[in-house]
Amino acid sequence: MDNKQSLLYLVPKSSYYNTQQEVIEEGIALHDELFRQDRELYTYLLYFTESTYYSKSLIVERLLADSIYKDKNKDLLKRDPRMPELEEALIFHALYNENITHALKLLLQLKKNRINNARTQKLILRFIFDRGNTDYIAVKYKNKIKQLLVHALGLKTVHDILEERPEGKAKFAKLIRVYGNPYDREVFDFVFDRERDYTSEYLQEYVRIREDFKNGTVDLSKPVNLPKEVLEGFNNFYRRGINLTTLISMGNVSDKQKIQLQNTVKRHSNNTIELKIDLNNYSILEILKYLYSKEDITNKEIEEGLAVIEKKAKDIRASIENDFVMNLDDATVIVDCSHSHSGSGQSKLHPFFKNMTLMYVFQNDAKDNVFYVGGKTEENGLIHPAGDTDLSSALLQAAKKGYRNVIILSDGFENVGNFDKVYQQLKNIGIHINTVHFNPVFSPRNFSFKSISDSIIAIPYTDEKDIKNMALFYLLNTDADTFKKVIRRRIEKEILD
Amino acid sequence: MKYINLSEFQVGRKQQAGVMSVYPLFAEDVKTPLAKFEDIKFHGTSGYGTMVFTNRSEHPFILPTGYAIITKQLAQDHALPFASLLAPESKRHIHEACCIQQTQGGYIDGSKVKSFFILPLYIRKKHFEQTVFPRGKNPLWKSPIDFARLWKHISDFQSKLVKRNEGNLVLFFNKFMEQLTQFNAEFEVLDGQRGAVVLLNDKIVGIEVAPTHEYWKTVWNSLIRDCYGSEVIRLTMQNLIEEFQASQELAVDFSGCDSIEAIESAIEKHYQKGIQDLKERLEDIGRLETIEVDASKDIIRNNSFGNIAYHIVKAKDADIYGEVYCDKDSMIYCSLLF
Repeated sequence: MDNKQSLLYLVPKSSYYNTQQEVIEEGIALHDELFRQDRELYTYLLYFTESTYYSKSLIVERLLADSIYKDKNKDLLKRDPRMPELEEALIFHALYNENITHALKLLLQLKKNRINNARTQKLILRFIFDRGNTDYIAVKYKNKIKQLLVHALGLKTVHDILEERPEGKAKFAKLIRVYGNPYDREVFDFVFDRERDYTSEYLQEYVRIREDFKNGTVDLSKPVNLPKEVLEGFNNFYRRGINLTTLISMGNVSDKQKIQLQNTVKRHSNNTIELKIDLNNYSILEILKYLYSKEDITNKEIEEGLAVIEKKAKDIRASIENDFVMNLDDATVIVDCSHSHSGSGQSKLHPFFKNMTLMYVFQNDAKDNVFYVGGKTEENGLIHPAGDTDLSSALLQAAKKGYRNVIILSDGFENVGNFDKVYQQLKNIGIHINTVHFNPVFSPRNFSFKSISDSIIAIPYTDEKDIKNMALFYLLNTDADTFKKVIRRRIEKEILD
Repeated sequence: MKYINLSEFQVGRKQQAGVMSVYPLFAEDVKTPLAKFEDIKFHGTSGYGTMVFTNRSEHPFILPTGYAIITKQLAQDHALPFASLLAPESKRHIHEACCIQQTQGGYIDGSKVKSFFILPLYIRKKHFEQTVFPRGKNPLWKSPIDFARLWKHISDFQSKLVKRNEGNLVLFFNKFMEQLTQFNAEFEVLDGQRGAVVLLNDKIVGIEVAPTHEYWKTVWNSLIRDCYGSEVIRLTMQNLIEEFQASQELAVDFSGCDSIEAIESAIEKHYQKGIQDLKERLEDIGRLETIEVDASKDIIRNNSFGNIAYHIVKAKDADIYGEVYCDKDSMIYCSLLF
C-alpha cells in the first residue's frame, strides 16, 4: 500500500469496475492490514473528520470488536497508558463530526456486524442522549434510533423501560438519564410509538401535523419545523396530494438540501419560487457546484458567489499559513484545468472544483501567482475544464518568474511535455524547486493517487476542511513515526485536554 | 488513398502516455447539414443481427463505425462493424449488425441504453480483412451476412486476456475497464478538434475524423478507450510490445540545455519536428493506391444519402482499411485502420 491516506476515503458502493462486494472486500483487507501492523497509527486516523463515514465505521468496528486490553496489545498499553481513553475520545470525535445521517448509519453498522459489548452500548446511548437536539433528530430518524436503542439495550430492557417496571426504571436511570437530557424519556416513548403528551416542541409539532394530515386539515401556508422527508411521508401515507414545491419550501430543509433542490423547486414552480440561499453557509466546493449548475444564473450571482469564495479562501489560508509544508508567501500554484478534470457523470466537475478550491486558497492577494494548464473561460466568466495537460510548460513559466516553491493541483494525467524530466533538468542546472502535488482524483479500484514524479509525493485532496491537515497528511505518507508524534500532540491539545 | 483528404486539417502537439500517442487534427465543422447524436434514438435489436434506430432530425446522421451496445440486460450485446447512415426523419433496421455476446440470448431494449462502446481496433480490422476484403483481394460481398461473424475475432482478441474462448466481448471490458478508462484522462479533447491520428510505439494505427467538434467530443471517449485503448491492453498484456508505462519519458535531449529558455526551445523543436514528420507520413498515405467496395453493393447504397456517399476502401498493397463519407468531393467523416 503506497498511500495510507487512501484508507480514509472508502465508499461501499459498486464502482464502474467492481461489484460492491469486491470494493468492500478490498477495503476491508486494507484496513485489516494496517490495524494489524500498527493499531496506534490506525486509531489516529479517526482524527481526520473528512474521511468517509464508511472508513470511519471500519475503524470504529475494529477498535470496538478487539479490546485494547487483550494480551497482544500489552506493549502498546505499557508504552501509552492513555490509549484506551484516547480511543474512546477519538471515536466520539469521529461521530460528532460526522453528519447525523452517516453517524447513525455508522452505528447501525455495528448492529449489522453484531458488535455488542459494554463499550458499544455506551457509545450508542451517549451519542443519542448526550446532545441538545435529541428530540429534533428523533423526528427525522425515528426508525434508526429505535433500532439502535434495541441493539444497545436489548428487547427485554426496552420493554422493561416502556412498561415502567422497576428494573426498567433502574436501567434507564443508569444508562440514559446520566446524560441529563430533558427529553430523554419523551424521545424513548416517541420512537417506540407510545401515546403520551409531549413537552418537546418538535415532538408536539410532529403529532399535531400528523393529525392534520390524517384529518385533511393540514395548512402549509406557513413554514413548519418538520423535515421535508417527514412531510413527504405523511403526504404519501395519507394521500393528500400536496405538491413537492410546497413540501420543500414549507418544510425544514437543510442548507445542503437547499442547494441541491434549487433547480427542482424552480422547475416545479415554473420559475415562480426560488429557495433563499445564503452562500456563506456553504463550502467553497458547494458554492462552485451551485454557480456551475444553477439554471439561469446571473452575472451578479456569479460575482457574489466568487466574492464569498475568495473571503472563505482567505480565512482558510490565514489558518494554515504558519503550519504548511512550504512558505505560502513565496509559492506559486499550477492549476490543472485540462479536460480530464471534467469528472464522471455522478460527480461531474468534482476534480476541477477541488483544484479550484485549493487554487483560491493558495492564490495571493494580487492573484498573479497562478498558472493555468488548459481550461476555457465561458461567456459568463467561469472557467471550464478543457484542453490537454502540459504541466512542464507551466513549471518552466513559474521558474522563469523566479518561483522556487510550487504547488501543483492536478489529477496527474499529463500528456504533453514531461513534468518529471523538466523538473530534473531544472535541478541539473541549479534551479531547485520545492514542489508539492495535491491530487483531487482517487481511484476506487486500487485506492491510489497518480503522481507526476517519483521524487514528488502525490497528496490526495478531498475536502476543504482537510486543508488544515495538509502538513499531517504529508507526514502520514512520508514519515509515519513523526506523524504519530505530531498528531498525538494535536489530539491531546484539541480533544483530550 | 482515394477519398482521404487531410489537407484542410491543422495538426496539433502530440499527446503521449506510455506507448500510445495522439496527434489532434483541427478544422472548422463541415458545412453539410447533419443530425446530432441527440436526434438519434436506439430502439434496440429486433432480431439477431439487426439494430434499429430512428433519426428524428430533418438531416441525415452518420452513426460511427464500430458502434456497440454492451448492456447488463438479459439480451445479446450487438455492434455495427460498419459506419451507417440514418436518413432524415426515418426509422432504419440495420441488418449488418453483429452479435458480440455469443452465449447470451434475448433482444436489447434500447430505451434502457444510456451509452455506447466502439469495437476494439483488432476486431474492426479483422472484420474488414476477412469479411470485406478476404485474403487482401478485391472485395466480396454476400448478403445477408452472418450475424455471428465477429465471434471468432472476439475470441482471438481476448482469449488469452480473459482466459475464456467465447465471443463475449463484455468479458474483456469487465476485466480491463479501469485501465481503459485511464485513456480518457490521458488523451484529452482540444478546442476545435475534429479528428486524431493515433499511434502505438510511433506507428500509426488509426486516423479518425468526425464531421464536427461536437460529434468528436461525443465519440472520442469511446474511441480512445474501447477501440485504441483495447489494442494497447492486447499488445502489452501479451508482451507483444514493450510494457505499458504510466508515462513515457519525453524523447527530447536536454543535455545541452543550461537555461530555462533552452529547455523551452528544445521542447518546442521536439514537438514541431513531430508534427512535420507526421505531415510527411500523411502525405505518403494519401499517395497509396486504393481498392474499394463497389458503389452498387447494398452496403454502400444503404449507407449513402443524396450527395453524401459512403465508401469502404483498402490500400492496394497494405493492410490499411477505411470507411469514408464524402459530401460530393469533400471528405466529412473517415475512419482508417492500419
